[in-house]
Amino acid sequence: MEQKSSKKNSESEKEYSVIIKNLSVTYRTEPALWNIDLNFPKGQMIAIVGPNGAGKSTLIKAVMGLVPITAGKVSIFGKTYSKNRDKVAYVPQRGSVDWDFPTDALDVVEMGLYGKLGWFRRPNSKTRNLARECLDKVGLSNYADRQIGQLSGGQQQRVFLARALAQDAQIYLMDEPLNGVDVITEKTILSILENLKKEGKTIVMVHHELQTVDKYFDWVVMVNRNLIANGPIKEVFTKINLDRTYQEKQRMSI
Amino acid sequence: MEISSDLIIIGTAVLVAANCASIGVFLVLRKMAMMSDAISHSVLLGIVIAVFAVGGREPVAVIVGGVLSGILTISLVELLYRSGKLKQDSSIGIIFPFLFAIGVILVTQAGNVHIDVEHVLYGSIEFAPFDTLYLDELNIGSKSMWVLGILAIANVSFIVILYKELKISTFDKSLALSAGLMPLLVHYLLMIMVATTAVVAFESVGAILVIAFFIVPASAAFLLTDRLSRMLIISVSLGIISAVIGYLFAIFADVSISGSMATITGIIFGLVWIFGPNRGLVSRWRRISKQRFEVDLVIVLTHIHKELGSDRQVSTSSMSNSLGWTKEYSKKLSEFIQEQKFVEKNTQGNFTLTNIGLKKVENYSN
Repeated sequence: MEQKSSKKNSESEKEYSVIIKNLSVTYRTEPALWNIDLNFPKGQMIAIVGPNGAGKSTLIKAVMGLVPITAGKVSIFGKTYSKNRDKVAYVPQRGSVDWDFPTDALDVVEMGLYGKLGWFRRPNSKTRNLARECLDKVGLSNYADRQIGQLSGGQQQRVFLARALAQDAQIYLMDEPLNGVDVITEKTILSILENLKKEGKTIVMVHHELQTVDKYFDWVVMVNRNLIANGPIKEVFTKINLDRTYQEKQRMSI
Repeated sequence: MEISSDLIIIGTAVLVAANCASIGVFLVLRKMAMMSDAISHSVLLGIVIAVFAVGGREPVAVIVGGVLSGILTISLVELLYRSGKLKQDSSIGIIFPFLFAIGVILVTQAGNVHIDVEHVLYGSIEFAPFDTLYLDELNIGSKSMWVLGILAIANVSFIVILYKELKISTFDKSLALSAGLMPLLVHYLLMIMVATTAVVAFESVGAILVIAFFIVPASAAFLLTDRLSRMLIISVSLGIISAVIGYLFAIFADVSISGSMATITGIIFGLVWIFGPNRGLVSRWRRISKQRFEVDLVIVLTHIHKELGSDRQVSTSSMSNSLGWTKEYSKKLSEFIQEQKFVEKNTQGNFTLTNIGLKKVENYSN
C-alpha cells in the first residue's frame, strides 16, 4: 500500500474521505493535539489508539468541529465539515448523555435523522420507519419502546450505532463503541461495520484494546498528542511504534 | 366583562402554573433548575430600571427590562464559570444575589414608584382582579389574564415549533451541534422564554411561586413518565392542580394564596416521590425486596443442591445456621420453596430437590 505522502492533493481527495492538515487543539494552554497531518482512507476500518489523555476523542471531535480548532484544517470529501455534515455520523461515548432522559430507544435512533430534516420540520412516519429498520439491524426491534435507561450498556451502545446508521453517512466516527460491551453487542457492531466497509464507507474508531487491533482493523492511527504513526496495520502496528505511543510522557515536538 | 374575582385569581394562577410548568420541563432535564431561581430574582433589577426609565409600570417596558436582566444573569453566570475554576452553582450563587440586591436598593430608593420587596417575593395575586386593561376606555378584563394568556400562546408555540430542536439539544448537545441544529442558539432562545415567563409570572405571583412552578411540577412529572411529550402534559396538569387546590386551601384556611399554592406543589411532589407507580419510594422498595427474595430463593436452592451433592442433609434449622439468616426468614423461605414445588420434605424433615428446583438452579448457574 502506498503512503499518502507520495500522493498529490487532487488524487488524494479521491482516495481519502478525511484530510487533516496541521491540526492543533489546545484546551487553554494545554495542548491536546499537536500539529497533526493525517488522512483517513476510504473503505477502511481505522483504529485510533493511544494512552489516556492522548487526544483520541479530541481528534474525532475536531473533525466535526465539536471542539474549537486552534490551528489547521479538516476537509471532508474536499469540503468543510459544515458543507458536508450529512456525510458524517458520530457515535459518542456512552457516558456523554443522560440515560434517564424521558425517551425510548426508537426515538433516540430517530434523532439521527433530525439533521437531515433540518430546522422546524417534524419527524414523520417515514423517519419513524427508517429508525425502526435501523433498530432492527442492531437486533433491538423488540426494545423499540423501552426507556433508554432500562437497556443494558451493550444495548445502549447498539442504539447509538443504530442512530448513526439512520444518518446514512459515508464516514462513521465512533468513540470507544466496544468499551465494556457484551459479546453479542461486540459481534453485532463488528458485523454491521464490516458491511459498511464493503459499501466503501470509512469507519474510524477510538479503540482501547490493543490485542484486538490487528484482528478487527485494516489501518491504525497511533496518537499521543503528536501523531506517532499512521498506516496499514501490517506496516505500522509495530512494537517500536507502540512503545513510542505509550511511553510515559510524550514530549511535544515544538 | 364581568368575571368574578375568584375566577380571575384562579385563572391567573392557572396560567402562571401552565406557563412555568411547561418551560420548566426543559430546565429540569437540562439540570438548570437553579438558573430559574437566579432569573426569577434578578429580573427585579431590570423591572426597577424599566420603571425608572419610563416613569411607571408600563407592561412592555417592564417585560423588556426583566428579559434583559435575565439574559444579563445568564451571560454573567456563564462568563464566570467558563473563565475560571468556579462551578456553575457557585457562579449562580454569586451573580443573582448581587443583581437582586442592587434591585432591592433601587426599589427602596424609589419612594414614588409603586413596588416593594414584599411584593417582589410573594407577589400580589390577590389584587389581580383590580388591575384591569382598557381598550379605548373600554374595560376588556384583567390585565394579568391577558398578559399571561399571550405568554401561554408564545410558550406553547415555542415548544411545539422547536420541539425536535429542544429535545435533541437537551438530550445530546454534540449530536445537535454536529447535525447543524445550533444547540447554543436553542439554549439562548429557551433562556429568553424562561426570562420572559419569569418576569410576567413574577409580576403576578412573586419570585418564590415562580420557582416552585418552574421546578416542582416538572420534577414530579419526571418521576411519573418515560416520554418527553407526556412529561410536558403531566407537568402542566400538576401545576394547574396545585394552583387550584392551593387557592381553595388559601380561602378555606385564610392564608397567603402564593404560599398555599407553593406548599401544594411541594406536597404533590412528595406524594409522587413516595407513591409514584414506578420510580416512587414505595414501589422501588417493593421491587428491591422482591429482587432480594428472588436472589435468596436461588441461594437456598443452590445451597440444598450443593449439600445433597456431598451427601449432607438440609433442614429448615440447618439452613438458617449455614446461611446466617434468621429462623423466621428461613422458615418463610422454606415454606415458599415447598409451595412452589422446588423442593419436597422427606420423612426426616430434610429437603430433596424436585426437577423444577433442579432446573431453577441450573438456569442460574449457567
